[in-house]
Amino acid sequence: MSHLSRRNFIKLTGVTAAAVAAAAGTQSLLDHAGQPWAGMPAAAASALEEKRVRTTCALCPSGCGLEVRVVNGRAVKVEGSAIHPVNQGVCCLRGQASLEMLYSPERIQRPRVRTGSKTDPSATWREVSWDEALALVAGKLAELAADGQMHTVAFLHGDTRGSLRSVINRFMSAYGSPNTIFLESAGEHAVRMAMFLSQGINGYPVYDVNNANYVMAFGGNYLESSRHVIGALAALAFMRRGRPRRGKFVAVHPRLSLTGVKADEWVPIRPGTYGALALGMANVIINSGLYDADFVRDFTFGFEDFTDAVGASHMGFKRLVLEKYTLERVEFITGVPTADIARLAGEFATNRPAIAVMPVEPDGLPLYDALAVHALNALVGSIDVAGGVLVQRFPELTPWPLVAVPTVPSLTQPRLDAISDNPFEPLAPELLAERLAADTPYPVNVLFLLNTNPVYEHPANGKMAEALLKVPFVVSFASVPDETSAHADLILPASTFLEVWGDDFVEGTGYAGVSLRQPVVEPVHDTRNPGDVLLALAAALGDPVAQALPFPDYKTLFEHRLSAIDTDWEKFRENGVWSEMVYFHAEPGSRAWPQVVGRDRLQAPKDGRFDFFARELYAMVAGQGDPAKADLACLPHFQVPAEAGAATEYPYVLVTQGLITHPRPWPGIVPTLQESYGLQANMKWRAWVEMNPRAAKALGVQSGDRVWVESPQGRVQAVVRLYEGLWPNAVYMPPGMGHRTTIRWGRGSQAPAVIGANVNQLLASKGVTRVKVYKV
Amino acid sequence: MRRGVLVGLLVIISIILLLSASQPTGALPEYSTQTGEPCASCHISPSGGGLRTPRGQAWVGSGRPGTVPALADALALLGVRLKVNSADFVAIPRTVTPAVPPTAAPVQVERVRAWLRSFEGN
Repeated sequence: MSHLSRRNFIKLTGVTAAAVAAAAGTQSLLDHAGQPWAGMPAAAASALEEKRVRTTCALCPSGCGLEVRVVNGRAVKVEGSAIHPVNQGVCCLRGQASLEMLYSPERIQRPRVRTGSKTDPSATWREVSWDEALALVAGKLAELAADGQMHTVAFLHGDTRGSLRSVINRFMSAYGSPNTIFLESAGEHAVRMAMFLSQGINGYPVYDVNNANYVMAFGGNYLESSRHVIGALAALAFMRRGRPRRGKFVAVHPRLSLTGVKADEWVPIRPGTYGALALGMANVIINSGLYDADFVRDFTFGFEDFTDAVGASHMGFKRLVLEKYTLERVEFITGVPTADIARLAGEFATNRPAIAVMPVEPDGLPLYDALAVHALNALVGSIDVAGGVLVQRFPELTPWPLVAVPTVPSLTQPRLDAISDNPFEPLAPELLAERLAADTPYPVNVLFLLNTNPVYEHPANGKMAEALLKVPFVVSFASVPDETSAHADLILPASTFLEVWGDDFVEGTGYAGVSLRQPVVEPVHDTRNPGDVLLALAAALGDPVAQALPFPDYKTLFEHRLSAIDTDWEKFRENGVWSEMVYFHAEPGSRAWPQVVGRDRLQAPKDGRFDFFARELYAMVAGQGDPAKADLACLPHFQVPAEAGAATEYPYVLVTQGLITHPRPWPGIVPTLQESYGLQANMKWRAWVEMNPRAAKALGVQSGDRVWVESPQGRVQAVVRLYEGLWPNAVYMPPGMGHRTTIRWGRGSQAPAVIGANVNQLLASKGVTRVKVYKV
Repeated sequence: MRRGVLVGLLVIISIILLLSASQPTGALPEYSTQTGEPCASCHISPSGGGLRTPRGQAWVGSGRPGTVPALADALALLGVRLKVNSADFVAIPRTVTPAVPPTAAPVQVERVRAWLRSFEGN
């Protein structure tokens, strides 16, 4: 046994005290970093300039408020803005890593034009000035306008923020082209159409999880990749731990995602069968009399069978559900045991307010899945109540300047995306590619691409790339070289959201609001805001486009639009956000009720009733073929989804779920996000495929094996990860990987290289995708 | 052994001192003491922490003064002037419109498609 001498004790104490003092000093230093200190040379002190700028993130639809610390003109740290209603001080990993995008070595630094033919592999790029680039585009557009060929100009865009989408629509309409095409994700499109066809609202729903007692998320990865991730995370924590009555959260998916892990209960389900489960639950709720009978009677349509104006009888939701979706049949379809279906239905109906979150996945029949799930919300009266499904409100804006746009024949030309006879179906990008390649209905001469990367997202066996080769002049707004801009003729590089002015409508709160985007730093490169580019083009083209967008820059434009908001602008700039802060729930039957049910209906009655039987659809399908089939088409139902690939050859069903480490609008490499890409799987910088251990054993593959994953669309390589939390015959691959980079990102890495694998190369555009797995 | 215990104790004391040297972050009971308000004035959760109410947001936004502004003042501080007539949202009397059965409409696929595709938000 050793003894501590007095000398050693004093030594040890001294060392400890010194360590504490040093640590405290370091803390103090950290706290005051960037600030001059006493005794600091005057020149050095004056050289340190620190500021914090509030702006709005653009890396996902959440639109969180950010506060960026800028030292000597360089952004050094991103945090959440404490006073922003969406995130209230929280900042996700993507926002934190946004500086790596701002200062990315991959960025395109100035406009570039292709030299030589697109089909010539030796063709290179030549950097040009903005004046030259804009003159080139304006010249092409003016030339086509002189020939009356305005309709041969198309504008493909992905998600945009604030007023930018209105600017695009206005630019194209004033120019004379009907071809503004929004490449919305199939899952989100289905949810929007379900809201429109049942509730009469053309918009995405808002789920008031904070005040719900029971939330059931069908599909997706609600806590990692929904439209309002930060709000969802905060609301889940609050509903379960922050209030006297604890709520319950249930996640339904074939894979145990982070959402499933955080949920109170995970319900594994056969891929592509969410709608059947929702209808099975509706069966139990109706059979047990647990639905909100008053609401259903007074404020819904099509619950019971009914007779129309010409005396024909129609099937209602109740009869369909009771006859077709018995527990045994639903168990057979979904694989969820009858006892669980009955229990979940009982819990859902008796713990109101309850929310059924619609799936945002393209598997199965996404529209009917979403309709079936949203019908549960109506059954329990969760429409526009606290803890239910809300309707996002938007601020009143100053109207656009009145302009007499002449009606030109080009505006009435058929749209390029008029592919299906059913306008409620999502746009099929591979069919659009085929039409572009085949000059159907006419050749496209100029194609703009903004916030979308269709060659990566919808490769369709190379059809999309072929289509771009066919278009003579492709203009891309890419910030970094991506799979699509590789086929462009001109790149007008967009600045990052940290370098520009912009507006962003607050979403996910229900109440109206606007969030301000302001430059945190001077543009790092010679890049521009696409909004400014369109305004410059409008000015160059002259009337009527210039009349339609008579603003010198995008900042002036949105300030004009937002001038209708009765607010203190100094406060708005300082806070970076304005919002109404309060959501008023419209009681059924109130004067405001038509604003939350039926507001946007076109051909269906605006009688304030939620449609179990979609009258908007009926207006279109009535009188066409078998009346019973027409009725079924108007009701939520389940059909066995089409499967790409025969089960005998492709035994596994491919599922995918978004991850919080995937910045959808940024195709470049973000090292921090790659380091943590598969947080749950502990996978980074490479593709992986998850398999159930039973399936892997049967196949003779083990964890870490390199395999081919092959579907009828293509094949990619990945590393096997065995995971019990997966439906037995499903395999999972993460989205967002598989981009090519020209940068050598670290020791051992190669450049150029493809990081991970692009799961889109495997996915079918409709239904369920089947794959086979075999060792490399 | 005794030396080991003492070293361990010193390490623990060091950790405690280090932790106490760090700066407080987030909502604290001190704020409640400072303002004389319960946690629920500023937080949706009655026990404090997490999401803030409009009053809490205005209080943070105005630099954490001695008092928490009243709701009307909080909204004004945040630059909000509500135009909503709250009476419109209350169903007194409750109006129930008779259900209107569906009818076949002239097929307007292109009109509907163009309208749906011109979606400008959320």
